Amino acid sequence: MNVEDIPLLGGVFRYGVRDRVFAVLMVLGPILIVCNDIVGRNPVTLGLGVVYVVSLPCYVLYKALSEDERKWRR
Amino acid sequence: MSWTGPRSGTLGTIARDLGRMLQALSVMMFVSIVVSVVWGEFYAIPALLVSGSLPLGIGWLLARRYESAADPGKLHGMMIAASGWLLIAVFGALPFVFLAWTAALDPQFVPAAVRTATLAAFQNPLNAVFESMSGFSGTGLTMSVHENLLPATLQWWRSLIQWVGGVGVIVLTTAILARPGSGSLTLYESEARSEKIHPSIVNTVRTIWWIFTLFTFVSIVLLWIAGMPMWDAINHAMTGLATGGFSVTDHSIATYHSAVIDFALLPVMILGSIAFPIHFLILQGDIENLYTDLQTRWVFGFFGLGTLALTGSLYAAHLYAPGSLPASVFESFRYAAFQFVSAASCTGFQTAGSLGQRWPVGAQLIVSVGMIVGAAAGSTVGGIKLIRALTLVKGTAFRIQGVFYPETAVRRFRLNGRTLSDMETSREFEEAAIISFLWVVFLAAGIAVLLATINMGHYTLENVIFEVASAQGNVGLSTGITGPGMPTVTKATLIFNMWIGRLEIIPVLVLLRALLNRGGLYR
Repeated sequence: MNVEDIPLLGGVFRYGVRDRVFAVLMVLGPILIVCNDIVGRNPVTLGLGVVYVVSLPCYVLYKALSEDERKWRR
Repeated sequence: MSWTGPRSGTLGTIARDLGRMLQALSVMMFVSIVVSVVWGEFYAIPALLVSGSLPLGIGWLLARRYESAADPGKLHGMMIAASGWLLIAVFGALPFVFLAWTAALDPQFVPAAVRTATLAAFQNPLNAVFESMSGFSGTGLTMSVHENLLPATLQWWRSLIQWVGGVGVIVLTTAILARPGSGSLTLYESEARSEKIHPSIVNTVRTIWWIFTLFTFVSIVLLWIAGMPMWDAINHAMTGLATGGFSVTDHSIATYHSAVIDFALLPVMILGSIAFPIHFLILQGDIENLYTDLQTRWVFGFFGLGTLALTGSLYAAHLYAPGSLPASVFESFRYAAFQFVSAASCTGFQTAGSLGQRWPVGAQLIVSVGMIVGAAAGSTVGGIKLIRALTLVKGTAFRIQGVFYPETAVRRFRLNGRTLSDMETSREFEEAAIISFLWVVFLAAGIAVLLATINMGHYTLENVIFEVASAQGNVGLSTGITGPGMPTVTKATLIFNMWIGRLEIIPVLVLLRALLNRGGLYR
């Protein structure tokens, strides 16, 4: 079964910037927020939070570099 | 153009779309019941149910009765935007009013800790409409004396209306009740927006909401990492990204006394200051738009220059850590960066010891310039917008330089990488000049009313100018004038300033002209 066939979740993958990594970040966001609130502030939840936040700019940078390389090869 | 006839004509088109906006508002109210349940505030549920049922019922009736009305044209679009934002602010005030009256009429149903003077202030419907208009317009001026004493349901409602208002009520309605066709584009443009990400306007607004939601989740986690409790992080991320500025604490961001939180909020406010199409392109990997797009480049340039000027002004005034040079420079920079970005992004968050009587007049002036100019068009900010300020400056220079060229010389005006024809140049320059002129006219009118209605024994002229500019620029920084004790006329004036500021004046003037024309008061 395709992720895009799942109701509600499918919309996250179908709309927006149509990039699976961003869609995964979108889905993980509320889950992480609720979990971190329930578990509380500890090294693990803080670490997960940092990874979540940092992955957005890092992936944007990765995409930009890949795009540059593709343009350069052309 | 006909005003009559339920299925055609201006009234039908306007009523149908206002009905749809009211339906979208009711969805927001019903969704907020989840917050009441999670926080155990069951006394708030009846207030939300009644508040949501009214716009749902009226909206359903209007949308159904005028279902087959024509698609809106440009004039309809402006009138719908102007009347819609006012109507949404009025209906958005209902949760405040009903919850305040629930506490007053049935004290046993509501815990004593919630029955405060802060909540009681919303028994006055005008205070509630002020709060609602301030929320939806992304201003952040508040009638709540102690925000931390409000029930979590109302704290959430304030954040939610700013979050939605930041992107736009019509954008929300288009996303939820999508009607493909030219009508949606007209409405979208009348809400002070013009940029399209996709050829379809419905896909454009869905993408805008998608990006906005993703950034909200990331901002929440960022603020939580910086040290905010999760509830505070959720609310401040929503209002910070929407550049609204409502807070759930008593002293805005000053409550935390944390440089880490101050610096964590900077990227959140900056994200809200960049146009959505640029966000879209950056997320697609076209990161060079950060410096190739004129507006975005100037957002960073303007924020940087303003911060430097403000840091210099604060350092020269020896306000922070005067004994130690490095600490003084750092603290001056910290408050300057936060406060200038907060002002220019039209957010309105305040940090410890900022503004008020302590800051030198020069520093207050720099902040005022920031909040009048604003940041990028197509983002969530208010103010005149950087692109218009740039058009005015470049256009004026272009006209003056033209005098030194022979009449036969062919000159081209360049803006944001585009070479404009004479007609395009005139149109861009004219639009920027008209909006800036009207902005100053209504600012002056607001100042005149405040000078006549408030007790000037407590406030200076600079305070009044600052407060009205803050309301009209949808900023929310306050010198202390705004509060539930303000005279009624002052409240109504600031509501009007917030309303016209959010819609960039012209749609409101079009609506007023149409109403006066219909009433036979203007020909």
